[in-house]
Amino acid sequence: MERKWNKAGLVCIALLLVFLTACGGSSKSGSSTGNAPTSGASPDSSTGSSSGSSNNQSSSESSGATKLTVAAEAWMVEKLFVQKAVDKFNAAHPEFQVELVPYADPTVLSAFALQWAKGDTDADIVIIDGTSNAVQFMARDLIINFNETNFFEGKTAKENFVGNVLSFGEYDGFQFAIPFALEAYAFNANREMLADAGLTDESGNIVQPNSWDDVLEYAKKMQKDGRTGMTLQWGPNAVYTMIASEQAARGSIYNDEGILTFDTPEMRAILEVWKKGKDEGVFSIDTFTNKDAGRNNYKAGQVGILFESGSRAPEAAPTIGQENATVFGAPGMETNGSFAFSAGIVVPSASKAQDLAIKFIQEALMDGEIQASAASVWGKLPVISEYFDQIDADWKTTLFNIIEKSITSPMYRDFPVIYKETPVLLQFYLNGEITLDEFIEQVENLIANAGKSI
Amino acid sequence: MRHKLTHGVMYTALGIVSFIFVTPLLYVTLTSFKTEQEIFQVPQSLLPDGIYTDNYASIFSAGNSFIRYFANSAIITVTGVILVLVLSALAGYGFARLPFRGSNWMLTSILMTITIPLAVFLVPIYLMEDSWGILNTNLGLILPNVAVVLPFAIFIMRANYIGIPKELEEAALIDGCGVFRTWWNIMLPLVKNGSVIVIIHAFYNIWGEYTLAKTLATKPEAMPLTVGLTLFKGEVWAFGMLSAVIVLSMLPPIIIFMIFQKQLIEGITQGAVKG
Amino acid sequence: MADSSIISRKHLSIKTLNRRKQWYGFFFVVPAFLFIFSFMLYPVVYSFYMSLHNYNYVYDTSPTFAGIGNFLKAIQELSFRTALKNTIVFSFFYFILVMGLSLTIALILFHIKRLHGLFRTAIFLPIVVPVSLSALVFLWILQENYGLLNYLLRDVLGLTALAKPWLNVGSTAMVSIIGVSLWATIGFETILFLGGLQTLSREMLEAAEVDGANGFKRIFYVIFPNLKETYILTGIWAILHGLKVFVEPNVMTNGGPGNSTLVVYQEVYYNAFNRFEMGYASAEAYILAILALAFSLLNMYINRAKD
Repeated sequence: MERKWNKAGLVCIALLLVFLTACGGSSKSGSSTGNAPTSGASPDSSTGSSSGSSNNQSSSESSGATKLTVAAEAWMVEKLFVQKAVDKFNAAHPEFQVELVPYADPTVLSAFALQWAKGDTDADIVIIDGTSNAVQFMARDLIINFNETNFFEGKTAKENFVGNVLSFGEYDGFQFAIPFALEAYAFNANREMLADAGLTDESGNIVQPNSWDDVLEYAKKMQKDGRTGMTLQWGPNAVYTMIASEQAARGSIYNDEGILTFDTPEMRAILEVWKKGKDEGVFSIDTFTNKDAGRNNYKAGQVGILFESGSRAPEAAPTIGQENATVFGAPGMETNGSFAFSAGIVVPSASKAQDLAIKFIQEALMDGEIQASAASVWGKLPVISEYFDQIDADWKTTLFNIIEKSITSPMYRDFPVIYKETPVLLQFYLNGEITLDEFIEQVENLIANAGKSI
Repeated sequence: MRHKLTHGVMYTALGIVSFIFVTPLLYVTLTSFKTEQEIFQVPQSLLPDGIYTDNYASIFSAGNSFIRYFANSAIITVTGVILVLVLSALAGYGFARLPFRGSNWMLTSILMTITIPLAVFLVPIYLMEDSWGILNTNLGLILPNVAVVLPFAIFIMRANYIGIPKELEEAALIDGCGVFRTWWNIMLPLVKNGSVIVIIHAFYNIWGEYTLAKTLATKPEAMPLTVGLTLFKGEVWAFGMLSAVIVLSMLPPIIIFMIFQKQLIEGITQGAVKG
Repeated sequence: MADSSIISRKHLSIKTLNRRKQWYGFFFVVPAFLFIFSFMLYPVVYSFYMSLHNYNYVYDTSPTFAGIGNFLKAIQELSFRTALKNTIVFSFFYFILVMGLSLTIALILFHIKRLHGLFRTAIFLPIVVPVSLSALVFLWILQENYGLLNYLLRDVLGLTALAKPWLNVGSTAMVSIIGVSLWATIGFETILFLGGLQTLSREMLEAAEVDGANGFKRIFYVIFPNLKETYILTGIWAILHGLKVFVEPNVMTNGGPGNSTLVVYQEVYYNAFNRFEMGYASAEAYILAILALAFSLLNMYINRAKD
């Protein structure tokens, strides 16, 4: 008898809970319609960035909109100082209300795309990690073309942007994204290890290696006491390492027909040195499976040179020392540039606050203090030339020079295929399972078979 | 003598296994109190130098979001577990002892829904919930979680019912006791064992569920703990922060396990004293 | 007179009983069935429909019919075939190890008299942590230079030769992910086996002892054959978990080195969310599903109750 009541009680509680959540759940999340953002606080807000609980759903015409939702990947909130940008803007413009909503990881973008395809959107601005991850949304006009707006005026006029950066967010005349937080592949160095191996001059500056054979020598000299001479990004991002090396060596990654190619004498020579380095154990294979192994080892002070995005050095400064964390170029980079990439700011076409969005981007995200801080602390470089002067680091001139001539990855529709398969082939080659010729041939096939136009 | 030897071996084996299972978690707990300097120093030090609580502080100082993630997870998990328990207790008996035409087909089709990788269901479920308006709600996460956890729960209960000797229920049925009454009064009390396993299965799977939650709860206020905590990931997980996150997501299930230990162990050992 | 009518009312005929059972059976099962299918019907139909079409949900406006084209394409693609091979290898070793080890641990727990609570807690502990997080922990532990495992092997135990680059070499990478998967799931399988062991009747076990079958003999001849239902349960779970493995290879090795630990689920995920090819991803998913279903049904058939 008693047990009967227990079970019945459980069933009733269950039904009750289901009802509660159906009602409570939706009010907890603010609204059940997809479009109206609520004023929930984002995890990293210290003081209120959005005022109270008022749902100022003003007439959602793009000219009269006073509410803006910015979606950024979670790590950007702190590292790219986006939270600060939002706070600054809100303080300066009490008539507007900007809310920052972080998203967990890039796969959520596909959920956004589904929304946009239906003409709905939760966010008015989305900051995407990598402009190449934003280009596909341009295909069905899911995002706006900045060339058709008044964005490129005043401080944000096209000439004010560094080097070729704007092209990172442009395809065929369609400016689909504004670049933000620039990074370029370079040699992150541990000055102490280089000095220890006799590779610095009297004033402590690093002696620039002029060829990859020199680089191999450097790595050999630093490979001692259980520490690694050099680590290259040979994991999931390996294709970027290859692009950076080729660009530095020959000034272009394209063949005469304008198609991406790695079948060049310069690239072949570099690949041979890579194999030698791997075989001799001075070029580490740590990144084969864990793309962040190099970065973490470098932060632990165990790596002499790390060939990856130049933002690793400032990131490691707290653990290996500000004076020891520095950046210099791979052979040829100062002349020919490197591989660079940036995050991309897009505005969905379905947004009803487009004018306000543009204003926010111009004023808050393209703000000098914001961009310079992100650079000094995390190595995420400004996209506006004059902000480079505000950076507080000794490597800023080196990186500025490199970035001015840098290029980004080709905007092919099937670039994700090239991106995914090349590291696999590279690892086969470095492990000796295929020869250099076979490697080049298979990569070239991959490129030839990849769909190019978007 | 031989008896003592086998016992010795058994205890040693269990000891080794326990050590392997517990050490990583212990390591994580210790690491959650280390500063980034300490984590990156080579060689490793197992114990932290001092108790560094910043990792936890930054998780809790972010407004009351942690509480919100926790509350979401709690509601989703508790409701889900209750639903799964009730539905599987019913269906398990049906499949085990009440054969009807087509029951095998139904069982197979239920099995089929969990052979298909969840990844290809994410888009249709998203579209479905969007049209029903339950995206970013707790209900929107309860429903798919239950649908995904229920099939195996049914199997568990079914196996448990089959394990009960047929004579018990045959006697009751022939004596005129209705099917429902038989189930309620006689069978249910005997499947405590299975119920406990279903609770464990449902609880841990729903509490730790990430894939569905990530897609269906994109707004921070609707996120359960598993997704909400990943917002603390920097560009790359800082190991100290990750450890703190893991400890926090481990604690509630462990605490519940400790509180209900007696009932749980009783439930699992129930069969042993039967007879 | 009165007695016989009372008796005939209470003792129902077998025929009525069976018919009644059938109706009840249906109604007992229907709530759960409806719940699952009202939620899963659309996704299942949608994904099946997609597997027969080509649809890139970012670039295309509508799906185009492709028949079995996607399935053929999958079989011909080297990347998919490698993933399939790896998945089957992983599942094979995982299945044997998880079943064997869990059963052994369950048997030991069943036989010991003291420290039940302590051991049980320790063994069940890993299932408390969501696997996506514990995989990250092991990623750290298995790092060659600063990982805990090599630190223990090299500096504490002095076994320097064993301190390998676990995740960066093909053979040890597969071993590592199998190991982590086992760590995370043995606890649950052990619970299932324990549950099954508990349903064995005391009389049968004691009768066996009286008949002279002690210890190992009792295990092999009495316990093992009577655990068929449990084999179905644990077997299906292990098969599904093995074939659908995703988190461990994705987080720890990213399918590498090369593609030695690439699994089918990763391919499905990549095609669905990096290339937005819903059609092709669905086809790959269904190939995996058919395999999983086939093995599960095989498991159920082998362990069917002999009525």
